[in-house]
Amino acid sequence: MVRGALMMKIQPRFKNDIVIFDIEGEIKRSDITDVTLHQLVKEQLEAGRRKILLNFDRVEFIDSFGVGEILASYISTHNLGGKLKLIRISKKLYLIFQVTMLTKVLDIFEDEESALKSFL
Amino acid sequence: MAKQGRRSILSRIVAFKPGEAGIAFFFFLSFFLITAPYYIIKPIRNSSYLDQLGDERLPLAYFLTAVLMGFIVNFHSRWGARLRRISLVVSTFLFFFSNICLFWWLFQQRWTWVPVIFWVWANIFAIVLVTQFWLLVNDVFNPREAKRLIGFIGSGGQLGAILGSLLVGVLARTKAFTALLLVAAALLFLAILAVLRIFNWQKSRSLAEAREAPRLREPSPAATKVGFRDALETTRKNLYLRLLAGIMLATLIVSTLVDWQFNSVVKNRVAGGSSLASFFGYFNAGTMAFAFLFQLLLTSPLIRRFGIRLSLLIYPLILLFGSAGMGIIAYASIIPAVLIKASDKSLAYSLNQSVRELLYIPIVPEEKSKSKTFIDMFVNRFAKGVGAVILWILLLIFPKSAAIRAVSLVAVGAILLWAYLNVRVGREYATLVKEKLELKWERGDKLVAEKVDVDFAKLVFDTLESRNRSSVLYALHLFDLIRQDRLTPEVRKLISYKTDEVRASSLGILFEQTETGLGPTSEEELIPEDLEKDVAEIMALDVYQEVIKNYLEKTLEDKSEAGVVARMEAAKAVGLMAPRAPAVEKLASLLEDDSPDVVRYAMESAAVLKRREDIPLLVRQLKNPVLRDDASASLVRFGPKIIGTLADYLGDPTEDMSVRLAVAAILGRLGTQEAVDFLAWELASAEGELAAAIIDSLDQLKGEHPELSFPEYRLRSKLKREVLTLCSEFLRQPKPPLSQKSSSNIFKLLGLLYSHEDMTKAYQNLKTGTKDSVAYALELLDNVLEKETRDLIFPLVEDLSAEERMRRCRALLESLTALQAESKEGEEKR
Repeated sequence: MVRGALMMKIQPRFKNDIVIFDIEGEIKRSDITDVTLHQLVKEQLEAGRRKILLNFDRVEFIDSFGVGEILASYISTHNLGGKLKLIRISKKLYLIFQVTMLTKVLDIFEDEESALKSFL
Repeated sequence: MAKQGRRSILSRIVAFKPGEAGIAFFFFLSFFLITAPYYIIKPIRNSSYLDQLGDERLPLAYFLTAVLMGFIVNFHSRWGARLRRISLVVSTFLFFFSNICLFWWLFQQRWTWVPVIFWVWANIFAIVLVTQFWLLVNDVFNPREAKRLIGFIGSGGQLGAILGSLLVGVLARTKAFTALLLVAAALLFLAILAVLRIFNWQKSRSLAEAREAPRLREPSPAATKVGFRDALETTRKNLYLRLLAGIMLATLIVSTLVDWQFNSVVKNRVAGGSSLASFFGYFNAGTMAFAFLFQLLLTSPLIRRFGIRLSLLIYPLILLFGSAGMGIIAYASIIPAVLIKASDKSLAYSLNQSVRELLYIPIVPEEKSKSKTFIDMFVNRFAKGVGAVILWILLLIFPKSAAIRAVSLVAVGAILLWAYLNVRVGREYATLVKEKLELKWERGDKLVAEKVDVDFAKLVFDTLESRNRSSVLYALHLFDLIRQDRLTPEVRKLISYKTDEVRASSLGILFEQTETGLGPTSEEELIPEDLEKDVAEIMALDVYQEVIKNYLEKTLEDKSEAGVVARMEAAKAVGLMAPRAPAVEKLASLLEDDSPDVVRYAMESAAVLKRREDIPLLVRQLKNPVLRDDASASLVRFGPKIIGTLADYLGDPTEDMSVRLAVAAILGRLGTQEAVDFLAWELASAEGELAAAIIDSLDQLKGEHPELSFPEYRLRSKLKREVLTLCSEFLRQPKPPLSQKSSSNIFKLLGLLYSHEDMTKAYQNLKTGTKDSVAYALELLDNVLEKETRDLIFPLVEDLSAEERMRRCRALLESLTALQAESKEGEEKR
């Protein structure tokens, strides 16, 4: 399933009880679509899934709006007792997360395998 | 016993310091033995010339002397270049000694040209020997020594003049008239012995002082290698020397005019060569006796009391009234002519000569040697020549009876010019004295501020330290460096050293040399263009604030070792947020954290956010010696808007003293007029260490912001109280006042009232200078402080015996206490 505008594509896939969102393109305010990452996460939470993994391997750019989407997703998941984790974020984004201390809040992994293991 | 009695009488007149009396006596004696022969020669010169050639030809004699003096300066300078000072002086004395003997023989021949040659020679004799004598005085003494001793030394000249004049007065009518020249020769020979004694003393002192500090007493060979042109150029290029030359010119023009008036009037009233010589002899003796007493008793006290500037004006003003009176009222009478000439003569050789010689002392030896020779020898005679030309012109225009009045009026004009030049040179003298003093050290804080970027250095150190603590903290520091555009290649190199210790930091990767295999490789690519903007935008997000606030709450609860680092990160990160962001509420807790490291980061963030509610928490940390500097730095970064708040702490007597002291220092760093006003206000009631801290802050403000205005009344009042305290301390325990810590308060206060640089220089040189630099420091104070302040400060700073200082401190205490009581009474009445 491919949803969203040309600039951003989000493809969910499932491994056991874990939802993995493969995100592609750019996540930015100027390209807001009718469906956002946060909405997609909420849909999965409403469906009863509590383990969310966001894969940024093919994300080329992310602005503050994109970070807001991640954080909103994190809060929603967390409030329902779930867990949201990130993988393959760029060094640039990691840098921004460090400066904003989000590395202290968010669980960030280098690869999918270690992230999946952490859900166990 | 008798010797002791003499010494005590002399000590009452002259303020000798230990070891000075001997050398001062030999200077006195030398000057006596130079002047006495001259005053034997001078009346013979005058009478022989007037008798044979008449006063109409006097201008010819003046003119010839002026022309010849140019050659003499040239010859003297070149001769001086080849010889050491001692050889130059002794050979010159021997030359003139032989000349006197020769003239004695020539006068026996009764040739008509002899008086003309003798006139010119006599003038050269006086100028060369007196110039050499005063150069020697200049070489040996610093301004303070000279001010003390110049009256005594100069009085030797007057005494010599009296003796010489009396000898002429008594013997001129006898057959022994020309034989007096042999007496003059004998006295001059004795002068050689006295001068040799001075050179011996100077040699032994130079050896002793060479160990203390280099002190240039003997002009360097290069300095004396000059001819007439070099001397002229040296004088022409330097404003101060030009002024001295101008003064000499004006003085001597006036003197020439007055001299002509006097001679002219006397010639008409006193007939006959020997009668004239006798009259001149008695007249010289009388004026010299007056000059001697004036010099011995009044010159030094006048100079010390009124300073050089005012002393310079006494002589021209007296002549001004005399000349104006003679020109307007009684131009042909002998009484006013004698009175003016007597004033001219007595003051010229006492007060005026002393002050003029003092003006040469601060000049660097090289320039002094050149210019003094030029001014004293050439300009002196040139001025006489100019005076002669003026006389010639006036005599051509006016009949002789009217010429005396015309000469008086021209003299008035020249005196006014002379007085103006004296005022100018007085100002320049103070400048020259300042230049003799060097600033020995700067304020430590100023030096650090100028040479080290403390904030930047701290950031780099914190960055390096944070590498081992936490990747987030490290990233936050690096972000700071990027934000401040200070991630220079040098800093990158420094912080990339061993960056593998911080594998977890993505920013750390920026500085690694090896490829990580992840993402982009170049630093330019890694550092986002809009990093700062992105961070700010993210932090402004509500969701971000919600997430981080929750995180901070948990972090603050964690009191473990790991929790300290997390709180440090939080404290640092909060500083990047907007002041009213919800997560910033946690800053208050971070400012009160148990860990000094956490508080330090929190204080930095507080300084960035500048929230008024954080000020009390920062002020509280001023009590903590570990955090005081950081808390102060943070409060300073708040800027002038918190001055009022800080002033409340400063003025609160219930507040902890360490806080009040630190607040005083912070106000000193804020650099505004408001800070000055609050500090000065508090100074009125502050005592002890708080007063010292306030004075120090005001000192810092004046040093860095000289444009600010400092309330004089309050500062003067405090100055008096500080002097009072120091005097009382000295009377309780007679240690040198400058060794007391509180002495710096006095000079800092002076620096607020006068030139900051001058007072700093004066204090530093008084405390740690050589004998000469201490003398120049006192001379500077003497010239820039007005009398009231001078009287207040000098008992504490002058080189006095303990007894004398005690006496003066007691007197000062009494007068200050009385003054304070009076002012209190006055205030109560009001």
